[in-house]
Amino acid sequence: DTVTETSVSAGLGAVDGNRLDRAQFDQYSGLRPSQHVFGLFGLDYYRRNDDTGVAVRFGASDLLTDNRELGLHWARQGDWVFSADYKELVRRETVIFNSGITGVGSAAPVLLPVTPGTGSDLDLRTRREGVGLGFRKVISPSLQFELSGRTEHKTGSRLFGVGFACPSALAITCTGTNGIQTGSGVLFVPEPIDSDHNQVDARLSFAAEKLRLSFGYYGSFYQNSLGSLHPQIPGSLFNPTGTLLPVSSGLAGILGNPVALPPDNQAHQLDITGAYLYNARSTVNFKLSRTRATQNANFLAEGLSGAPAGVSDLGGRVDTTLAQVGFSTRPLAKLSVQGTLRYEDRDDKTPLALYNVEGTSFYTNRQLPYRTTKAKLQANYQFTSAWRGTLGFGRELIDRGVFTPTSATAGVTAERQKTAETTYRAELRRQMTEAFSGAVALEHSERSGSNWLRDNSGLGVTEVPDPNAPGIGFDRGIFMPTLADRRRDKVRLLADWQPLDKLSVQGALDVGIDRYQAPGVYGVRDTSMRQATVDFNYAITDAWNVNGFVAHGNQTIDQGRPDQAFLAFRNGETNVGLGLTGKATSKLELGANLSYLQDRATFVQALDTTASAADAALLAASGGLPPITFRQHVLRLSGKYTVDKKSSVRAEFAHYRTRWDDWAWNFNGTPFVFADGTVGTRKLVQHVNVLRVVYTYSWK
Amino acid sequence: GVDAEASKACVECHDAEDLSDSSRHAHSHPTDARTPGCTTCHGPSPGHVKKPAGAPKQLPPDITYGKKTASPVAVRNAVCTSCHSKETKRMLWAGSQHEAADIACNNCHQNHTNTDKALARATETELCYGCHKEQRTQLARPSHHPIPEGKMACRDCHNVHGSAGPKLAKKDSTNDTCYSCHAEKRGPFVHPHEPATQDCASCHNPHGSTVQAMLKARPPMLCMQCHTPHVTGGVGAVGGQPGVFTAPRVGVPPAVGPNTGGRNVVNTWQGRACSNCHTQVHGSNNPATTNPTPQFLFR
Repeated sequence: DTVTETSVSAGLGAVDGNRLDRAQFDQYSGLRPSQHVFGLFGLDYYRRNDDTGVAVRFGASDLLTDNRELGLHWARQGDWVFSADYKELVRRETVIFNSGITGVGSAAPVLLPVTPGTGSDLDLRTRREGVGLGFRKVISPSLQFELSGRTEHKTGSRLFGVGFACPSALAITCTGTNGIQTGSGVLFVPEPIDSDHNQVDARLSFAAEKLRLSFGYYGSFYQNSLGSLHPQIPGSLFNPTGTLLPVSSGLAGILGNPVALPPDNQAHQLDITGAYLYNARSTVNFKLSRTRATQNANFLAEGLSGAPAGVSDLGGRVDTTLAQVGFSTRPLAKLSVQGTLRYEDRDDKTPLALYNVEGTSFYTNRQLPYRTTKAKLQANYQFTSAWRGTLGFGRELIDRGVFTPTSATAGVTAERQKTAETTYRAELRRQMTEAFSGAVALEHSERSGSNWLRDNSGLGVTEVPDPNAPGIGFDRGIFMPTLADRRRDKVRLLADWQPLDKLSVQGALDVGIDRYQAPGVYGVRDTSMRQATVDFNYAITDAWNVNGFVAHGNQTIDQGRPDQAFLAFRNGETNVGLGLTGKATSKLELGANLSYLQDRATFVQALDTTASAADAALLAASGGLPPITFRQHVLRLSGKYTVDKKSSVRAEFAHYRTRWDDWAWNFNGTPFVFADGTVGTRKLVQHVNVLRVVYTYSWK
Repeated sequence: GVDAEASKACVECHDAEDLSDSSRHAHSHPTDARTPGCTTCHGPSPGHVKKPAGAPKQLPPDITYGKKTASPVAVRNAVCTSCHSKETKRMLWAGSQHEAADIACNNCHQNHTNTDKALARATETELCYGCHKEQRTQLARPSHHPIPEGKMACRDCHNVHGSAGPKLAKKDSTNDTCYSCHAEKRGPFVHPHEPATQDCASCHNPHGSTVQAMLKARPPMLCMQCHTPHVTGGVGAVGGQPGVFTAPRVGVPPAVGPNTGGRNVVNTWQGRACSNCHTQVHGSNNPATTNPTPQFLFR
């Protein structure tokens, strides 16, 4: 017997709006910005022979857009599987840049200064095209082999740039002459992309009655056709107030330096993964893996000169060893215990060379070893049929190895090589009535670490227990939030209520507070988050259903900054969704969905009495940083009419309204202008209407 | 294998009229000797097949999977894992976050259907939102992976059945998971950026953000959480605000004038902020030893 099911969908879509109106919508639409009408075509084919057991499934979607996908699955289940797919994906930049640059997408673009807004609009986008193949063979009931590979080609260009402000330490040729030459510049230079990424997976799996074992190999091979970016710098650039001035010779040289693009790299991983089903109540599992990642792109071949004598490539190598053991057991009917122990050691074996020369000082690159040990243990106890309690414990140790003594710490004010964090968790769940249950969970964690490393202003570091001690001069230091002592508290409340057979309501409240006890007065001091959500689902009738949710959250970050400035960041977000689905008649299905998101970020700045007069004047005049708001309404209406047993028509209308008030590229009519006159535009309010009508014909 | 005899009694009542079409489900495959029968998952259920003497009605099957089931999660999951733990991607289920949270396989999966929501990319995400509501809001933000557009799904980064990575990441670490699509960030580089080598999530929120490139906070604030910033720009302000290009008051020069260097309040806070100049935030492979050396990730 053979079963064959086929469906073909074809239709038309229409979208309004110009490039500026559609910038956000077109991020992943797969449509050209000039395209207002587009075709819709997809198909699904399934054929199964019940005598041989061979089944084939072929699907295709979005065939008439730039996001087309094709997939084939051909198998005799329990014996062999062959699969293949082809996928495309285009991502468009949501900011539209107007620039005089030519050669975008090449490794040698030519910059030409233009009066802001008088250049050409650019369509920055990246395009991925990938092919995947897979094969699986069940060799015997206990043995299975899998092989899969994927190759992806990525092209296009994305937002990037170069910039420099000549410091006084450099020769006058760089700083230039004030008012006559420009000694600084931020340039718009899109990054060209033309690369291939190939991945391969091979695996042999063994399953006995209680034991499962799997041996695998994973390989990743990244090849970039472009080694470096060589922008051609114009002779004149705009100064910060918009006057076109000759570029100082030193600055021109620095801005014209080649920029390294991502180098080729490779990674090979071997792993053994397994589980032992000790009995019906207890299971142990594990994974051991060893990965070698290397990077040895030849500098000269990549167009990068000036390497230390005798060094032709980095010879980068990072060996990672991972071991994880997990278990789950139920020693008593009411008690269950789970745990994992994980160890990972990233051993950076990249050779050292004198890549940094500053005057008469020579520094090497820096190795970044990273070793983590993490343990988690959790016990759940069912006190009664209504009450259930959970206790959890976690411990994480991070060891960043020995600081490379021949390197310098410039740019980072304080580091510490070891941190340790302990987490405690408790949860109580109660089934209060048949229709109502609730839970409360508390989590507390504390992190501390080893001594701090003080920058020697030269080679290496000195270990100090208190970086703020007199004479150390670290009081202006910023201490990484990932390294600083931290106390974290979280509370979670959950409720699940079903007052009627047809109505269910879920609620959740999450509150979290992080307090940093870093010894410095700058950097992150504390953060907090609160989020409340309510979801509901109501079956109005057997044919009609309505569901929805409301979510509201707040996030805060308080941060100390130099010049006695303090910045408090507040982010509030509200998300609402409402959906209706139903059957109007036996042939007509209808759906409506409305969603709304508002995100508002506000910034509060404060200065103390020691702040400079210029800072105080600027803050008083400007009123501080403006808020950033994002609002999006999306309305979707859909209908499906079943013409007969074989065919149906589906229509979908969507309206998107996006308002994004963000000062990154423009504020109050004043655009951010690159030194070559490039400006970026994101239209404040964007409206898009999309209509899709698809006819589907199916047959068996 | 299937105990066809034992299942015969089931189909006397639970025929094609009673159950939805699941002919394309893997459990229905006609020639795969491993496919289960009714009793494989529900137990022999003699009290359900035939009403016990004295009982007011038939008993439910030994193991049930409905919303109000009395079968414990562990019992239900043991049925599934007895076969499905043979797949490598499910070997690390025991002790994983979802197992520890007492999630049952049937909380996400449906069997008697051809359209199991958990198996289709288009419907999987909505299923995950059922519990992961914070991610539902984050993915509605403007800078996101193409998940709302249906071009990616949670499974592209997470293995919900257990993994050796954090947050059930598909690969052994967050970075290794990211590198499977963003291999250009792997390096190693001549001048690495330490947090980028350790955890991409130090700076990025892969579920979405209102800041370009899915950054967790707006630069320069994000960068200044670790770095001592240039003093110019100590007070955040942007072009278009009073005091930036115009004098805030008599005797006080504007924050940005004709001779102001590139590290001014506008170039530090607007455009790409810090990465206007420090453009190689994922690391630079430029070996040049000449000043300015690429260690500050300029080029």
